[in-house]
This record gives sequence, C-alpha cells and structure tokens, in this order.
Amino acid sequence: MQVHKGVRRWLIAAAVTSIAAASLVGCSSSGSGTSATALPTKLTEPTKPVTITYAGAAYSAADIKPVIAAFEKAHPNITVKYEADPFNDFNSILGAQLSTKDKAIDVFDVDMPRTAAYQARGWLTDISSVFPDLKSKVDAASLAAATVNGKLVGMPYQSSTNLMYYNKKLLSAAGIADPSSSPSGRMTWEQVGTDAKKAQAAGAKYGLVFDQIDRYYQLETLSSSAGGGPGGTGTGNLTPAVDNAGWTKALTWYGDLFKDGVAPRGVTTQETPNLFANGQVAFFPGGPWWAPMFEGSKDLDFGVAPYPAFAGGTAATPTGGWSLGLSPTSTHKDAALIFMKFIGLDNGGYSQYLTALSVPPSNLAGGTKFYDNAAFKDPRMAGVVSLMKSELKNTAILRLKTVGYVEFENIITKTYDDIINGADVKSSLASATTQLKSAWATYKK
Amino acid sequence: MTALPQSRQLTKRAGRSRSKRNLLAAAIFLVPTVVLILVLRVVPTFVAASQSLHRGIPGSIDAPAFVGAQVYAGLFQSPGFWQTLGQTLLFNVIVNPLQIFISLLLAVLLTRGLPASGVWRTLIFLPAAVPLAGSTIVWGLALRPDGPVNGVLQALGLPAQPFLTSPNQVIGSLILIVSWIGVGYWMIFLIAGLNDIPTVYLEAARMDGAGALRTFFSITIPMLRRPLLFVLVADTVSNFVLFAPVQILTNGGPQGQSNFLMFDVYNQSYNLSNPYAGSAELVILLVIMIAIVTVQFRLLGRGEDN
Repeated sequence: MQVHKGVRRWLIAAAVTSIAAASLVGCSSSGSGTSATALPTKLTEPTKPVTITYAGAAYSAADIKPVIAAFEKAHPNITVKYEADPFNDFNSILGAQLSTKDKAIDVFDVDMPRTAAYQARGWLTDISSVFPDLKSKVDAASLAAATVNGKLVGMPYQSSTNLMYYNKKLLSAAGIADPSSSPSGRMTWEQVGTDAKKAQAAGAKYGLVFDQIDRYYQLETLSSSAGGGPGGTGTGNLTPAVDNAGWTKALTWYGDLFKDGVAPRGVTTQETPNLFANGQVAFFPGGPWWAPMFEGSKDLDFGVAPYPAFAGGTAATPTGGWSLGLSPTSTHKDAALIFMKFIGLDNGGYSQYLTALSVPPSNLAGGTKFYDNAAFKDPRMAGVVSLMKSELKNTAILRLKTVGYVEFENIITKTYDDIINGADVKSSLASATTQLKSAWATYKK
Repeated sequence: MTALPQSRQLTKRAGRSRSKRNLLAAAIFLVPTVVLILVLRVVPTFVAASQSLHRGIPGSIDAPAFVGAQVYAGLFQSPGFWQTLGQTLLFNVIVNPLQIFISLLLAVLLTRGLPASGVWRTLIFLPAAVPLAGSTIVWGLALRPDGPVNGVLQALGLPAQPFLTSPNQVIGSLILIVSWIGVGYWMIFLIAGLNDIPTVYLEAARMDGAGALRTFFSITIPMLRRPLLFVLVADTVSNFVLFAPVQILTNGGPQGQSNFLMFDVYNQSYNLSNPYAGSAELVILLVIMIAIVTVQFRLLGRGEDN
C-alpha cells in the first residue's frame, strides 16, 4: 500500500508539473505582438561594450571575417557575433527563431524576395526614418526589393546577376564557334539547346546545365523571356499566373533538356558548379561568383557570354540578393543600425573588405571597386565587366514581389523538380495553380 | 509468546522504512528521466494539440486565433493531404513487414553456426553504424539515373532505372535505402532473442520428431515473441517518423509521392512557418501510430501471461 501511495503521489506531481509547463509554454507562445521601440534618428555610438548577434547565410564565417574585423576596428565598443547558417536551411532557421520572438538575433540576412513576407510576419523593422536617402547610394532594383508599401524595411547590400559560361574545348571539338561576350550577340535558348546536343555528341558529358537547376531565381528568367510573367498577378500578386502559354513554353523546353539527356536528372544545385569545373559541361548559365572557382581549375578553358533569351522573346537575367533586417526584438538597436550602415553605406559598404568578392554590391560607390576585382582580370573572363554592367542596367528582373513568396517558392521548386523528372508540364502547372490558390487563401482574408 | 508479535512489528517497521528508502532511491533515479519525458515528450504533445486548434498568418509574431477544428477540416478537404496520408500508409505497409521478415531470416541464418558468422553479422550490422544522413547521400549518388547502380544494371544487359526520380519507383528506392540500414540493426535484437531460447525446448522438439519448419513455428516464434514485439513496434515507429532520406533526396517528390506525413509536418512548420497545419498533421500521425502500435501489442502481446 505504501508503495502504491508513493507512486500515486508521484503520478499526481508529474501530471501537475506537465500541465503547469504546458500552460507556461502556451502563455509564452500566445503573447501579443511586440511594441516596437522608437528608432533613433541620429545614431549614437555606445559608450559601453555591446555585443550584437548577426545571423547570416550570404557568406561563410571565414569570408565575412575581414568585414567584421574592419567594423570592430572602426567601432571598438561593438562586437559582432556572426552565426553562419547554411543557405538551404536558413529560412527555416530564421522562421524558428524569429517567430518565437527569439531575442538572440539583432540583425539578419534577408533573402530579397522574402522581404514582403517577413514584413507581414512582423520580423522586420521600418528603418525609413534612419536612412531617408538611399536612392542616391544604392541601385534601384535593390532599393525596390528592400521596400514594402513605401517603407524601407531592410538595408540592401548585395545584388546579383548571371551570365553563361561555356567550355571552349568541348565547343571546338563539336565545331561550334565561341559565342560573343557582347549583349548584342546574345544567343537564343533554342540555339544553345541545339549546340548543347552537338557538343554532347562530340564528347561532352552534359550539354547544358543550369547553375541553380531547380530554383526560381534562375528559372524565372525562362518563363519571363517566353512572355509568361513572374507567376503571380492581381492585388498583392496573390493570384497564381503560372498556367499560361509563356510558362508552358519555357518549362516544356527546360523539361526536354532532361528528357533528351542534355542535362542530368537527380543532380542538386550544390553539385552543378563542380560538373562545369570538372570539364563535363558545355554550357553553364550561372553566377559570376563561380569565377574564382573555375579560374582555379587550370585545365579548364572557358569563356563567358550573355545569359540567353528565347527567340523573339525579351532578354531577362536574374537579380536580387541580400538585405540586412533589424529584428524588432533587438535590445541593441543603435549598435545594430550602426552595423547596418557600415555594411550598406560607409565608404561604399562592405564589399571593399572582401578579398574574393564576385557578386555586385548594392552600393553604387562600392560597385565601382567591385568591377576592379582580380577575378575579372583573368583572360578567360574577358568582356565580363561591361557585360555585367549592361545586364544589371537593362535586363535584370526581380523575383515575384508578394507576401506569399515563401509558399510560392516552395511549390514552384517542387513543380520544377517534377518537370525535370519527366512530369507533364501542363498538368504540373495546373496542380501548382491549385496549390498556390489554397496556400495564398490565408493572405486574402 | 509476546516476543513473537513484537519482533513481527519490528520487522514490519524495518520493512516499512526500507521500502520508504527504496522509494526515495527510485524517485531520485527516476527524476531525470521523468523530467526529460515531460519536457521533451508530454509538453510538446500538449503544445502541438493546442496549436492545431489555432490559425494565424504563417510565421507571424502576432497571437494566432482559436479556430477549433478548422485546421483539421482544411486538411481533410485538401487532396494533397490525402495523398500524403495514403503514401505514408503505403510505405509503412510494405517497409515494416519486409524489414522484419529479412531481419528474422538473417538472424535465424546467422545463429545456425555458419562458418565466419561473426564476420557476416558485423558486415550486415555495419550500415547501422554509419550516420543516416551519410548513407543517404551515398545512396542518392548511387541511384542517380547515370549513377553506378544503373552502370551495373546496364553491364548486365538490363535497362537503366529512374529510381528516385520516378513517381513509380521512389517508394521502392526509399524502402531499399532504409532497409539497407534497418535490417542489420533489427537483426541484432532478434539474434539476442534467438540465443536466449533454452536449447532444451529445441532438443525436446527434435526428440518428439518435429522438423525444422515445425520447430521454427511452434518453438522459435512463440519463444521469440518479446524481442519480436519490440522490434515490430520500434521499427514501425521509426519508419513512420522517417525524415532524413526524404529531406535529402526527394523533398517529397516526384509529384508528392514521397511527401510522407513526418516530412510534411516539417515542411509546414519550418519551410512554410505554418506550425498550425504542421501540428494538426502531427496529431494525426500520433493517432495513427498509437492505433497501429496498439494493434501490434494486441496481436503479439497476447498470451504473454501464459
């Protein structure tokens, strides 16, 4: 009896504790929205040592180190703790931390197309009053990407563009002339597809492999060039627009590359640059950030050409990059804003401290220094500087701007994967439309 | 005569204080486990159940609204959810019996005094010692349409297979990958169970003239009931919550065919920051698992007291 009583007492204690704990968790997760503290209009240097936490995915801890060192030298009272997260998991990590009002993060990288979604979630702070005049300092596309409903909610710092690498040895083996590096000599996707098959017949393992093989960042340009638009329309871009002629044309062409074996199935975005670096791919549309890696392969003879477009379609190149967001729960907003200013604006921004930068910064003054980068002096990259400048100015398209972007990217990536693996294009796009309608219904209420 | 009741009382008192001490010792040893179970199991279950009755803007830091069973209603109206549920059940109906059958077969073979059985046992168990993510990546490379497995098939004059890239073969490919790991692991438990069967029963059966099959079904299987029940339940649970191979290799595709419940819970909760739908799916997964494990206990646990 004694033992039984004891056990019962324990069970009761356990039940009470669990209920108490559950209700505690319940309380903490259902608190009301944060009251944003007023932002300073003039930034004041902290007088005591302060540590801010920066969660980032754009650069590895090693790459960003010189930037943080330069910042800490200029602002001795502020220490920056950098938390590098893997790009693939970054959005879910941020989601887990910010949606529970984690006070551990002060500043974080914002993938530009997610800006509107993050703003709607309450993860970002309106910093318009602190930085009223960015127009003259950063490029227009970056500024537009960091602005939601007229409010500046992030400090844009990095933009991007794409070009097409080609393997000279594989092309000459197939008797194909090197493409021009001038925007006026832009190839058509149709021609690239045909040449890719020829190169493959002459010995290339793969004819044409996209850098970001199943990501909207790069594949949006195909449907856009074919006249299909970014994928959403109407109020807030919350009406799906992927089941149309442009998208069908673009993705039929793309799916056929895999059906014909010109591009490999079962390969992830992480693996594609290695395929080109190993000399297995004839054409590789991709980011200029791979230049240092490709230049490192001594036996790789390659050149760069403009990012192609569909015959009769408009030229479209990917753009957009990263902003810095200020967490509304940050307890060191002053120091965090000083850091954001340093990265985005001071003396042309962060890019001057990076050794191997090959992505254009948003800062206009920083851009001038960027084009002087050693990576672009390699003879194999001939013509790349004027090409990048021209593409950023004339053909760059931003990704779909909508509060429902996170769901959009998730569904569209799966649709790309299905088409790559041989699913019917029409029915895949119809299914994506149904899924988008259901996912976006939340935002329309 | 009075001495006896007194001494009885003393023994009783001593026994009482001893049982008190035992209880205290047991409590001290149990506290860490009980606390961990509460924090890691009981509380999250309550939180999930409560969250599944709420809805809000995905990822929003604002408080979600109580919507009753609306999230569940939304799930049951979604064809995507039914596909997820169907595929999860299909995968488990095939993978669990298959793994246990092969594990049992290997366990019986390796307790038959085969030459170098220790080496075989180690080789079969080895995949379980490799981290799941690592072996998943290696299998992903091996099963690529232009990978080494297809190379071997073609060398044998067989046609290349799409494996993970085909909606018709993705479940089979995942079963292959998880079984390669699981079979050796579960086999070890069954070998231990087989070695625990007293040889007198087997000898008695042989003397009674029972053949190998009769001995296996009438002696081995009933004597193996306890380890078999454990393996069955643990294997079922581990396959229902299978996550890494789906996340690393298929992302739920092609065409949603490997979008199992556990993966969708993660996708909803973390990729889409929608913990409400994620929690509702988690509760449904929990109910299914409890139902299946209960049936397993009923079937194999029966006769435990005899």
